[in-house]
Amino acid sequence: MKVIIDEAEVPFEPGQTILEAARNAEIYIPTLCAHKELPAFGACRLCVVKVDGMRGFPPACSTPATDGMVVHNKDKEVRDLRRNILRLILIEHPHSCIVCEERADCEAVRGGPVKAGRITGCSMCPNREICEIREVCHYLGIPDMEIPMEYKNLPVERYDPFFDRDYNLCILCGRCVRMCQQIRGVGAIAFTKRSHNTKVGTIFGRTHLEGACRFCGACIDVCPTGALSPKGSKWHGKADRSIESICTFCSLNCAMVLEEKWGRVMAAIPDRSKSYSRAYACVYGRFCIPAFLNGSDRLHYPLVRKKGRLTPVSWEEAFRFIGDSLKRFAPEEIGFLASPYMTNESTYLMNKLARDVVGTRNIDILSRFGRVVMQYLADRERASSAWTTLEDVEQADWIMLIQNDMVFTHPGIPVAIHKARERGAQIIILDDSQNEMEGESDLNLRIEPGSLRTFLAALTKLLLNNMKVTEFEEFVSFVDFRRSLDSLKMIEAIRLTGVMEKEFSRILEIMRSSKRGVLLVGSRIMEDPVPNQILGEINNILTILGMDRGFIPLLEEGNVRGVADSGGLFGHRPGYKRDRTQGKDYLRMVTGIRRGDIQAIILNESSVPPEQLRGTKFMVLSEIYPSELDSMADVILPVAAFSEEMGHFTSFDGRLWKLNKAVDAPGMSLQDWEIFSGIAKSIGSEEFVYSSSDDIWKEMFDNIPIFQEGNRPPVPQRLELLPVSEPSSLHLSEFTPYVVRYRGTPIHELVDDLRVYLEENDRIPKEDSDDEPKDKVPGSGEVV
Amino acid sequence: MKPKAKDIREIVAPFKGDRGVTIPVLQAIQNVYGYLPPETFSIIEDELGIPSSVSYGVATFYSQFRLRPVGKHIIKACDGTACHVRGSQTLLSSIKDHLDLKDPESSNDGLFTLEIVACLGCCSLAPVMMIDDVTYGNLTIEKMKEIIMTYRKGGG
Ligand code: SF4
Ligand code: SF4
Ligand code: SF4
Ligand code: SF4
Ligand code: FES
Ligand code: FES
Repeated sequence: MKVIIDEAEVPFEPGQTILEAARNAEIYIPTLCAHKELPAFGACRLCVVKVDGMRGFPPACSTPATDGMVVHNKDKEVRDLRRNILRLILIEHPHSCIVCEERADCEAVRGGPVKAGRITGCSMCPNREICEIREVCHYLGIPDMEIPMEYKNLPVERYDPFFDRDYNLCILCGRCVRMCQQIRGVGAIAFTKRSHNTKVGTIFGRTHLEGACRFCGACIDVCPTGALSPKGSKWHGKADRSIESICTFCSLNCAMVLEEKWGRVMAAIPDRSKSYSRAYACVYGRFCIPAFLNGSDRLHYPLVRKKGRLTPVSWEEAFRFIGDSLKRFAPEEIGFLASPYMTNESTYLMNKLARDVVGTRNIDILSRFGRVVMQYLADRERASSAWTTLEDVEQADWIMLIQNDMVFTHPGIPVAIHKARERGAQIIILDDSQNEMEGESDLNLRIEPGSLRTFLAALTKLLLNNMKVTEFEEFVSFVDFRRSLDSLKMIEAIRLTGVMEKEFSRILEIMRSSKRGVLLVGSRIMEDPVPNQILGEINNILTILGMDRGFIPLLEEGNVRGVADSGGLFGHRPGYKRDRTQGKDYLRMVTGIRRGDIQAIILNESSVPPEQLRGTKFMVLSEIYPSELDSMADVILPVAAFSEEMGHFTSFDGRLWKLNKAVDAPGMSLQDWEIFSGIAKSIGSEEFVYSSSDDIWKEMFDNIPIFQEGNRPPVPQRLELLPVSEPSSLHLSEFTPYVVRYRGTPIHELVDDLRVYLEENDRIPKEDSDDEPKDKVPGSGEVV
Repeated sequence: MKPKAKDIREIVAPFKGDRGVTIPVLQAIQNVYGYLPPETFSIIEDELGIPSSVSYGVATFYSQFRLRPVGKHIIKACDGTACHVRGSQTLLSSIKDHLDLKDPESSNDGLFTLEIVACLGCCSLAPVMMIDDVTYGNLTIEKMKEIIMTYRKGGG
């Protein structure tokens, strides 16, 4: 099908608008309220066109294209009308920067750094570089304005963390509102009031902090004006370079463009050029990367403890010292603890150093939840397979959220869930405490604390009712499984879980309705003293439903999956080749330290509680910031952060992403793999001849199938049913909720605005301070 | 009637599970109380999952919704063309000052609610206001104050 736009024949798909057809053919139609990530709105009227056979001037952004339609986009009448519409918009929008006679010269310096927030005169706007109003004015040619401007004189809203809002610049295009409500599913902002008083705002003009805002910054990214501006990155002007990389703060690994200026990362912008779901992004990635990486405390030099004092030394000396020291211990007395933020390449070398050079099997991942899940899956040969992806979440028919805090741990995922729900997916929440996603749920099951096992057991029993069990009879431990189910009393289960019978039938109905379901399992299942039991019972449910996919453990740290894939997991060489030689996993290493069996520890992040390491005779710690482990370490090595290194990460769903180096690491910092090579050489190994992470990657790629794109084996069929647990109310283990960090340092320790946000939402304890807490600044004073 | 959170919850409950109910649910609440009590929005959020800023946006967009109880007397001040030309803007702002109103809403003493309307159909008397059923024309600021005073004293 084709439309004709100014004599050009333009093909289009049914359902597309005139604007979409034009854009596909690279025909420019000026727009202000339309945005490719948002549903059409038709508010600004700038995109008006003339269509043969249609009355008036329909807006291209919300008029469906039809076959043979004749559209006039360049005609004089259209152009005049657009100009007048634009002039009307400009009456309420500061536009000195547009009509200024010096405009052309100004353009060259506009992108420069600024020192003042908002000046009057010709510069009333923090929008230095890209401005859609200016683009549109340029296209339509607005040399001057006859009507004087009407300044709204609204107070600039600066009292929230992360971004400022100057609604004097707002043209009410509604992009931010649509983004927040329809795409992010948050609804922190809306159009309030009517006619002349219309303003984007919050309930009773409250602060965003008091409201529902999740500070994802998505509204800023779509605003065509300078009304919304990030506090942290509006001063430095145009970046020198933009580097495509990823955010590593959680296992989503969102695509990010890192902006480099003056040798530092100044901003990180979600890279939505490929697909929106590749860069849902969130407060951590959008706002925290520069402040977190550029802290003035970053380590610069290798430090070796000499006569009790940490002393800066050269790398040669540090490596020599490590090599000499390690020789004092037997291989089985040495342990390696892998940071889940290390690249796959570095992990591969750590594995090689530990297993092949040092000769120890004591190696494991530093991740509370990730370690348990990856070990569980690896032991069942499921870790290497392709996993359920974010797209599967978007396409699911039902989604069950089990014991997770994704709004704070994986803030990108709620966006996928909102998308699924808009498509009609049923959302079930299964949680023993309040869940932030309740507003997006169709069924909210608040179970009694400690009754998750019982709930899953009861669900298994109900699912098996009126089902032929013959197909399962050959399964491992089927007889025990059957017996455990027979002794489960539903009345008991209902009493212990607090879930009503009718809620059970509702959930059964939903789960049976489709195999395209997803279970998102969070780290709060670790409250159970034996989390493997929970994983096993979830596995039972998937087996009975005949779902080979659908299980998503919400791995927390950036590269847990990649580190497990690359040889960092206990008992598994890269690619999950079983390593059957005796060794100790993380917990056994910790007891080993206490007993004196483990004498030396090499670790590359500071997330371990000091008491677990007390008693080591020799400790090598690589980190980016000083930590409470420093007083115990014999050697401290400065390591590059993710913006300073090359390599690959594997996201929670098993896909590979490339890190690209944006800036140099501070001081003498090296990448992990360079450090492992140095240590290997100091012990006398000659095998570590890699000159770049590419060399390592090549070796991994050539030898291990799962590192070849799209080459993960399919999920194996399940052949096991685990006996369910007896109805019981468990005594829960002590569990502190996960706080997003990087290499052991919580992000909020370096980013004050994040601290404020997390405190307000009770994710971290409030700091005691005599000052008025920051978050108590009153709202804009709006009164109704 | 003094609203209780529990009562509002009861009004909201039947709307559970339906989508696109913001306006009907606000209407249902206003039908009971004559206005939307401030807790309305957070209750709608908890019960129906509609973000409070969104329902607030709807409530402040449609003139049918009020965020304060209706006063004993309703003042309809005209800002239609004829009145506008004859200075209704100045008059309006002095009414607001006089009653200490921040928005076209109700006064703190619960006596007055101000509504701005476009043309009361007696343009020859512009500027015009109506209090309850009585129309007052050819207004000046002084005259307006006197009239309001009589209502304050219980007359009118
Ligand atoms: S930052 Fe995100 S949550 Fe907050 S208003 Fe903008 S889009 Fe909504
Ligand atoms: S703040 Fe920006 S995106 Fe939102 S309505 Fe105003 S101009 Fe549009
Ligand atoms: S948004 Fe800023 S840069 Fe763009 S036209 Fe307005 S004042 Fe100028
Ligand atoms: S923290 Fe996770 S969701 Fe947020 S931007 Fe980074 S990778 Fe994306
Ligand atoms: S872009 Fe079409 S109306 Fe705004
Ligand atoms: S304009 Fe005020 S009465 Fe007609």
